[in-house]
Amino acid sequence: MSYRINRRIIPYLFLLPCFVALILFSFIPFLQGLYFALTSYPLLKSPEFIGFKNFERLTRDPLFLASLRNTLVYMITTVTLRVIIGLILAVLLNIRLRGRILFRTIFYLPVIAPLVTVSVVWRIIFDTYSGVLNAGLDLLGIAPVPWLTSTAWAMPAIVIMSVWKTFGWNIVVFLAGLQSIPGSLQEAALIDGASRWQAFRHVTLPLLRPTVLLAVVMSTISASQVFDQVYVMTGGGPGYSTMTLGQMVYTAGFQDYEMGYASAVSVVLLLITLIFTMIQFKGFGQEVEY
Amino acid sequence: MTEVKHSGSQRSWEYYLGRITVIIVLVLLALITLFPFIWMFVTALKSSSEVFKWPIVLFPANPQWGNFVEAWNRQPFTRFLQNTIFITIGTTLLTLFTSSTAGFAFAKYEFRGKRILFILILLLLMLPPQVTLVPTYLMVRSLGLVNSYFGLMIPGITSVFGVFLIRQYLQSIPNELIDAARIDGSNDWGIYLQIILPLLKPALAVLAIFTFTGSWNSFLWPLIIADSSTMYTLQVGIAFFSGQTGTEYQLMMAVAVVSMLPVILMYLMFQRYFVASVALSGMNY
Amino acid sequence: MRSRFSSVSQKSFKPVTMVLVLALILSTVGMSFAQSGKGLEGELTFYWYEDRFAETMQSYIAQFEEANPGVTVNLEILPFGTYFERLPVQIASGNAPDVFFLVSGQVQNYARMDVLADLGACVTPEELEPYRSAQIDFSTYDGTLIALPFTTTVLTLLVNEDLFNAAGIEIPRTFEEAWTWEEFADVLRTLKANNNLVSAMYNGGRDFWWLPWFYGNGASLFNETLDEPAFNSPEALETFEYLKALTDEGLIAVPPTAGASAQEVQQLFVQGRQAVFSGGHWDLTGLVDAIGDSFVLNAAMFPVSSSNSLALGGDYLVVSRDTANPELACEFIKFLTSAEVTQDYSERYYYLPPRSDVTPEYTEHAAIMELVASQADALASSQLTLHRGLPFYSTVNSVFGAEYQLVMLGEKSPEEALEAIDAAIAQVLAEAE
Repeated sequence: MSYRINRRIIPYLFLLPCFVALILFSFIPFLQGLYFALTSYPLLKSPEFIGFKNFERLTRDPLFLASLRNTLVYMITTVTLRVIIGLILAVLLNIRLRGRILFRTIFYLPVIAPLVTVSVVWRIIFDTYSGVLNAGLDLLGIAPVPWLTSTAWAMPAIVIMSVWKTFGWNIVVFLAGLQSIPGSLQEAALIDGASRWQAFRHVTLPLLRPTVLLAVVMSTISASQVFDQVYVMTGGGPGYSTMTLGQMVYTAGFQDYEMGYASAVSVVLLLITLIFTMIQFKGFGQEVEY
Repeated sequence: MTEVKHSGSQRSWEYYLGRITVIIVLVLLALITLFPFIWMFVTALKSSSEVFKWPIVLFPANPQWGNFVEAWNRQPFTRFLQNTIFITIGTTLLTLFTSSTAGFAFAKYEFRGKRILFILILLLLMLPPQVTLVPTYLMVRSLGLVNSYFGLMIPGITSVFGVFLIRQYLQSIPNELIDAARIDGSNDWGIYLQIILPLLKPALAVLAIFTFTGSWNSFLWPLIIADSSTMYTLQVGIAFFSGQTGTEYQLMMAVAVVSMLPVILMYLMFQRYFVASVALSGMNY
Repeated sequence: MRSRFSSVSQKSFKPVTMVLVLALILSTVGMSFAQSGKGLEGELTFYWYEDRFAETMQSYIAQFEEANPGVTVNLEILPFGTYFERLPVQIASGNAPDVFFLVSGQVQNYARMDVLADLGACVTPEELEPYRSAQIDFSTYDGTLIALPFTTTVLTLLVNEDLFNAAGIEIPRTFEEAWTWEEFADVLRTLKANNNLVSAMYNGGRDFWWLPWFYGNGASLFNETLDEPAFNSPEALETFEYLKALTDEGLIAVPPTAGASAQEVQQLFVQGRQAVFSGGHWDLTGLVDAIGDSFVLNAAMFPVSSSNSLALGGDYLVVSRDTANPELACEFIKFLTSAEVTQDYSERYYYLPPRSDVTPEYTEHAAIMELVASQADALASSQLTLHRGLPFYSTVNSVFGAEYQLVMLGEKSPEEALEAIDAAIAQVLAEAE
C-alpha cells in the first residue's frame, strides 16, 4: 500500500523544484499582472480595481494601434527572414565543407552577444552622419540613408539588427533537423533521377516540417516581445514608427507610471502570441504526425 | 546525413562551381556577421574624438590599448566579474537541476494533471517580461532575497525551454534502460542520478550554453535587484559608461569585448554537443 | 503658498560640546554648518547619479558626517540611463532610499503618487526666500513642500564663433540684442550658405528644447486653469510652420533618434559642420573636450518672439516618505542645498544655482555662463516651467515629442499634429480626474 502511494508521489517530487520556482517567480507574478490589467495602478501607489477600463482605453489609443501594427510587421518580417536565412544556411552548412564548424560558430556568435551592448553598436553603425554603414554606401556612391531618423528606415534597421542577432539560432535548429533525416532517403531520390532541388523540395523539406514548426514558434515568441533593441536604438520613434507593444509596455509602466495600463498591453501581447502559435500549430500540425 | 556523396569520377566543373559559390556566399555572410564585433573592437581602440569622426576612422592610427585598463578601473569590474561568474554558475547549475528533474517527470512518468501542467509551463514561456518585473520583485523582496546572490539568480533558476528540451530528448530514449535498472533494485532517485543524468549530457550541455549566456547577459533584473554596487554584474557596470552628458563608447566597448570572452569560451567548449542534442530533442512532437 | 508652512519650533541647543568646537574650527575653513550641534544621529541611504559626480558628492557627505558625528550617509551612485527604472521599482516595493534626486519633470509626478516626505516641518519659509519662485512652486505639491532645488538648468544656444565670424554675423549677448525669429532664419541661411554646412542648427532632442519656441510665441499646452488642452492655437500653428520651413530648407537638422547619446547629436557641431547647437550649459566640459581647439565655442541669446520662452530644469532633492529618519534626511538635503554646497557644485559642473544668494565664479566659460544666467532671468517662462512639472506631464510629453518629429519629417501636417496633441492632452486630463 505504502509503495503505491509513494509511486504516485514520485513524479510530483521530481516536478517540485521546477514548479516551486515557476509558481513563485513566474506564475504568481503572472496572475498579479493579469489582475493589474484590471486596475488603475500608478506604480508607486497601490492598485485600484477598475474593471475593463484599461482595455476600453486601448481601443481608443492611437499609440496602441500603431504599436500593434508595428509589432505585427516586425514579427512577420523578422520571423520570415530568420527562418528562411537560417534554413538556407543550414542546408549550405550541411554540405561537407572544410571549415563548416568555423562558419557555424561565427553565425552563432550574435546569439550569445549581450543584446543591450550590441544594440548600442548597431546604433553607431546606423548613424546617419558618421555611421560606418553610410560610409560604405558613400563609397558606392549612394547618398546617406537616415536609418534611425526617418519613419521609412527605422523599422527596417531594427529588423536588420534583429535578424543578425537571431538567425544563428535558426541555423542550429535546422542543422539539427537536417541531420536527423536519414541520408538514404535523399540518396534514393537522387538515384531516382530527381534533381537536387527536387530532392530537397519533395524529400527533405517535408521531413523538416517539425523543425520548421519549432523554429517558427520559438522565433515568433521571441519576436513578439521585442524591446531592448527598440529601446536602445530608437526609443519607439521617429514618431511612432518603431513603437512596438513591448516598448509600449515599458513606456506606459516606467515612463508614465501606469502599470495597470501597461499590464493590459502585455495581456494583449500574450494573446497575440498565443493566437499566432495556435495558427502555426494548426497550419503545420496535421502533417507533423508521421 | 543528407550530404550527397559523389565518387571522384563524377565530379564535374559544375560541382566545383557550386562549391565555390557556396564558399563565397558563406565567407561574405560570415564577414557581415562578424562586422559588428570587429566594429566593437575597433571602437574600443579609438580615442573619444575618433568614435564619430568624419571621414570615418576605419582603424585608429594610434590604437588606445590603454582604454581597456582605464575602462576596467573605472568601476570595480573585477568584483563585478566575480559576481557575474558566481551568479551565472549558480543559475546554470540550478537550472540544469530543476529542468532535468521536471523534464524527466514529464518524459517518463504518467500522472494526473500532466497535460495541464505541461501546457501551463509552455504558456509561461510567452509572458512578456516587462510586466512581471514588478510582481517578481515584490515576491523576491517578501522572501527577503533582495541584494542577495540568490535573489540575483532567481528569474533564471528554472527554464521552461529547458524542461521542454529535456522532455523531448528523453522521449527518444527507450524505457527499457529504466526498467532494467528498476529490476536491479534502483529507486527513482538512483535512476535519475545514475541513468538519466549521464544520458542527458548533450542536452544539458545545450541548456548550459543557453542558461549561461542568458544569465551572463541579463541586465534589467540585476540592475533592479542589486541594492548596492558590491552586488553589480558586468552588464550593470557597462551601463555606467552611458551618462546624461554622453556615452564613453570606447570604454563601454572595451569592457563589452572583455565581458563577451567567457561566453564565447563557454560556447566553444560545449558546441560539439550542440547540433547533435538539438537534433535528438527537437523532433518528437 | 509659502505662508502655509508652519514655522519650525526652535530646538533647544545643547550646552557647548565637542560638536560646537568642531563646527567652529570647520567654519573658519570657510564651511558653515547650520545644523551642527543638534545631535543628529542615524544612517541614511542616498541615491545620486553618474560616476563623475561620485567623488564630489562623497566629499559633501564627509563634511556632513564630520559635522554630525553619529551620522552615516551611504551614497549609492546609479547609472543615469537606468535610474528611473530602478528607483520606482524599489519605492513600489517599500524599499525606497531615504534621500534621492529627481529631475525637474518627475518631482510633481512622484509627489502625486504620495511617496515624498513633507519638508515643511524642517524648512522655514525664510529659508526658501533665496530660491527662484518658479522652482519653489515646482517643489510644492498641494501646498506642501516636498523637494528642494539643487541646480537650475536652462536651454543654451551654443554657437561656433569661427563660423559666425566667417559669415560676418554678430552674436547677440543680451536680451536687447536678441534676434527676432525672422532675423534668426536669415542668420541660419547665411551661416549655411557661407560655410557650406550640412545644416545650420541642431535644435535639441526633446520638449526642453522644442517647447520654448512654442511658449515664446504665446502658445501653451494647457489652458490657464490647467483643466483643458489649449495647444491647438494659431500661435502653435505658426511656430510649427516656422520650424518646419527651417527644417525643410535644411537649416535645422531633423530630430535625432530618441536613443542617441550626446556624442551622436553633437558630432556635426563638434566637427564644424553645424553652426548652432541648442544644448545645455551643464554639458560644457564634455563639449569643449570634444571640440578641442578646432574652433571657439560661444553662446547666443535665444531668439525672441512675443512671450517668455525658456523652461527651467534642474535636479531636485527629496526625502522618501518611508524614511525611518525624516529629520536627519531633511537636515541632510538642507545641507546639500546650502549656499556653500550649491556654489561649489555649480562652479564644478557649470550649473546655475537655484538660489539668488549664491554667485558662482566659474573658472572657465565665464562669459557663456554669464549669458546663460542673464538668459534664465530674462527669458524664463514660469508657465512652461510649471507645465513641465505637472504630474501627468510625461504622458503629454511622449505624444508631443512623437508628433513634433512627425511634423518635422513631413509625415504629418502641423494641423493634424496639433489636433492629435490636444486629443492626447484631453485624454490624459480625463484620466487624471
